[in-house]
Amino acid sequence: MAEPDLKALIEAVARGESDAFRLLYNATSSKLFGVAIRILKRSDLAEDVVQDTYLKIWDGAAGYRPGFGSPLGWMVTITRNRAIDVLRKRSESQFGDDNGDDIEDANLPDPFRLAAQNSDLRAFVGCLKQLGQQQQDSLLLAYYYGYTHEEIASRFGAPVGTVKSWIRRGLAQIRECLSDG
Amino acid sequence: MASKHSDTLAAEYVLGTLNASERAEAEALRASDPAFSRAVTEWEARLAPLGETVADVTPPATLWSRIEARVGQQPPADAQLIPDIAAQIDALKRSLVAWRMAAMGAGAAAFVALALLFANIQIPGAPPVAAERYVAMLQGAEGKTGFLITMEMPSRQFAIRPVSAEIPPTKSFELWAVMKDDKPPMTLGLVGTEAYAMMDAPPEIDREQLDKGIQLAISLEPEGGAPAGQPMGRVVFAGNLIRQTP
Repeated sequence: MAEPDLKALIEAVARGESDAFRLLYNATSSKLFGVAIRILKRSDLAEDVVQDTYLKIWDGAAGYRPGFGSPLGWMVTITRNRAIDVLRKRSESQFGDDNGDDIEDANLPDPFRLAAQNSDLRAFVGCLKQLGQQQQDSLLLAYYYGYTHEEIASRFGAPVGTVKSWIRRGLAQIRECLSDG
Repeated sequence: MASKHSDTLAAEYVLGTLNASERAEAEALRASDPAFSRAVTEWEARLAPLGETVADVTPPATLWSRIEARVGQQPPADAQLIPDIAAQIDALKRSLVAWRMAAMGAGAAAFVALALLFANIQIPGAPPVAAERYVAMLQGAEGKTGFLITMEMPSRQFAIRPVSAEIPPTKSFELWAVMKDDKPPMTLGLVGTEAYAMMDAPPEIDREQLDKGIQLAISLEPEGGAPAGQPMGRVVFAGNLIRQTP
């Protein structure tokens, strides 16, 4: 809906226009916070990550390229990347901390149901559907929750090597499928 | 083009399945290897549509204030809402040094005036005064009410009632009174967001000042309050203290 404006807003923000910054924040912060909190499961950490994302866009350091596609998808990418960084750094210092794992599955987004909304997503979902169920689930758990190979393996009770190859093959198939489309 | 192996690594990096040390390797490669960096960007674009399927979660209202505070010294968006107080606090911060010098001269006179006012209120045997109530609705960005503050005279007690406000971690809210004359904002103390709180008004807040008009403002300060006794952080809520009773 607000999609057509985001590109212009991002450019205006990088030029230092504070009104545009506020509009961009209003239009996108709930999405970015949704992405970050799902991965980090703690409001304070998610807030820091979302803050970093906006500051990066404000500084123009993130450099939106029109070739990337959806501006919102691009912002989500920055947020996810940062959230996973934070998650990995935390799990390094407190290994085995599994707090909050039980809230997840009920909330797993359903890309299949949402696919009608946008053509990029339709194409992606079309390709995802061609994978085996466990491959699909592994990819989605990794994407939405930032799980490592090891965490997905323990969730499925499968060897890490098996999960790695599910995911690798899955990604390769998606790449293939998207370039055919 | 990236080799098959490095394309796989790029895909796993973007998907997020790498552990901390693998991830650090991928990041180093991204910074040093243009082909790998391109592969990462391509994977980001491939997987980006999924990101839009995540359900929205509204962040706490304080997040925007934090971001805004970090992007520099331009006037905050809510400055229009409370223009005089924000401008006044800004001006006062700048002229703090000048004011301190002037205050050394004015101090004696102010003390005498204050002593007289005090004496005036506390004349023994003076007829009892009916309670007067003053009220201030402290609003922030988008007209959101953060605090409701009432003050009773002559008991000089402030009652502070948080309405909707969240203090970011490692920060404190500090309440200030801004008088009409050119005094710097006077701290009334830290305010929490948990419950109703009472505090005594300093003697400087008297009927004369109340008649002239006092503004109350809450600024976001480092934990424990503004170190220099003057507001250094952004004003997040402000409002006029007006008389409620006839």
